[in-house]
Amino acid sequence: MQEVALIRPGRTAETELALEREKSALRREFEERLEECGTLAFRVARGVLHNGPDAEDVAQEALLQAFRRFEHLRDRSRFRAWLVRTTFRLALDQARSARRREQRETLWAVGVPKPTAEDLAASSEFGRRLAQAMESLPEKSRLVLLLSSIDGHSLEEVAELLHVPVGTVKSRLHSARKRLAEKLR
Amino acid sequence: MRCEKYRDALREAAAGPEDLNDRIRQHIAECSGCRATLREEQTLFAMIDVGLRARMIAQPCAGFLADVRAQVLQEPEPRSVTNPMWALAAVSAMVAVLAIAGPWVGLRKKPAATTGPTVSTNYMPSGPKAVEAGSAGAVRDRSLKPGRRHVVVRNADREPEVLVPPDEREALAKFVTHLRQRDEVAQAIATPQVNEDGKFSEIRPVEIARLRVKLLAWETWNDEDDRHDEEER
Repeated sequence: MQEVALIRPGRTAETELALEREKSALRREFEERLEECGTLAFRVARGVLHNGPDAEDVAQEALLQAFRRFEHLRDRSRFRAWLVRTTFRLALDQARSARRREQRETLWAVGVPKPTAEDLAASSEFGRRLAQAMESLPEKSRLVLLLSSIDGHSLEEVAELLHVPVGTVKSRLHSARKRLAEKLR
Repeated sequence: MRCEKYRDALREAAAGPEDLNDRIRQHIAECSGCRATLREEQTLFAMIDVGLRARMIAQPCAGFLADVRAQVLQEPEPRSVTNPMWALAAVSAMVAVLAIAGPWVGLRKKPAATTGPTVSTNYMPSGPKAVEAGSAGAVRDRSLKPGRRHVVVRNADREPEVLVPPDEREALAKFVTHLRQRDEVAQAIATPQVNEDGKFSEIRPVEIARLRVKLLAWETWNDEDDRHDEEER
């Protein structure tokens, strides 16, 4: 019995091998970005949601979206900037839908996640008021405030992440802090 | 009232890096109330900064990155994402442009007569099928009479699948590569032979007694080759 195989004659074994190599290189690069930016995504999400488990879900979704678009995001700085913006947006959506859900359902019916140490620290009276005050800030100012609060993030880095001039970051940060102070006085 | 006018300046000084001007400094030195206000404002901003920093040092749980990796492994390979609406818009625009510009660029003009049928193709020749394959929107004349020009659109993305015995795969791949380099040879092979009376020569279907068709994945490529070699031995 003669055995035949269905092949694409335009593709040689070398082509297939090159494609395989390209795929593994892509996954390796994504692994590197994941190591670098995974925590950043989580922190941005947590800054909006004030809740660890929800922030993890949102950060995971943002990272998966980043993987799906990774061919466009192979550049390191582009990846970080895209990830920060997407995580922030997803977190805002999540916060809004959570608020709507909370209005619909009674609190006892919703499974309250076990608070972490950070959650407990943030649950102090000042922390609660600070979280409330932050929610009243405009989105742009809020993101600048969150990013510049991450240790080791200079104003220049925040500007690079958001694709805005350093002067814009400075003014947004200044006005955001003043607004927060007004709310907290 | 005198202190009221310094209030905004004190808050501004506490919020930002700007230094107080000499006039305000002098007032603070004299006024204990404004000194206290400045201290309160500075404390408030320090608390805000500390509170924000505390919020942003949180770490995800230990298994977070592992979970993401596991999810990524289940994802198909990343590819360029094209918004279907944009693609639809682009196709519509192209159709509109072709409809408007078609008559002006001579798409409808009857081509000049040539000595024989000319078929332009750059994919695997497979007899008459290669000519019929020009259904990608080019100007075609299905009658394919001698003396008329028949055009098949080049479609570089098209990669037909062909049934080939395993030990002839490399040979076929080389053959196709060679044909692509020598376009005129490919054209000659792809052009259907026309008899003297103007009819196509009949191509009989290939008769193979017993066939076992298998789709080979790349991972099993080399294994299959090895097994085949062993069987031959």
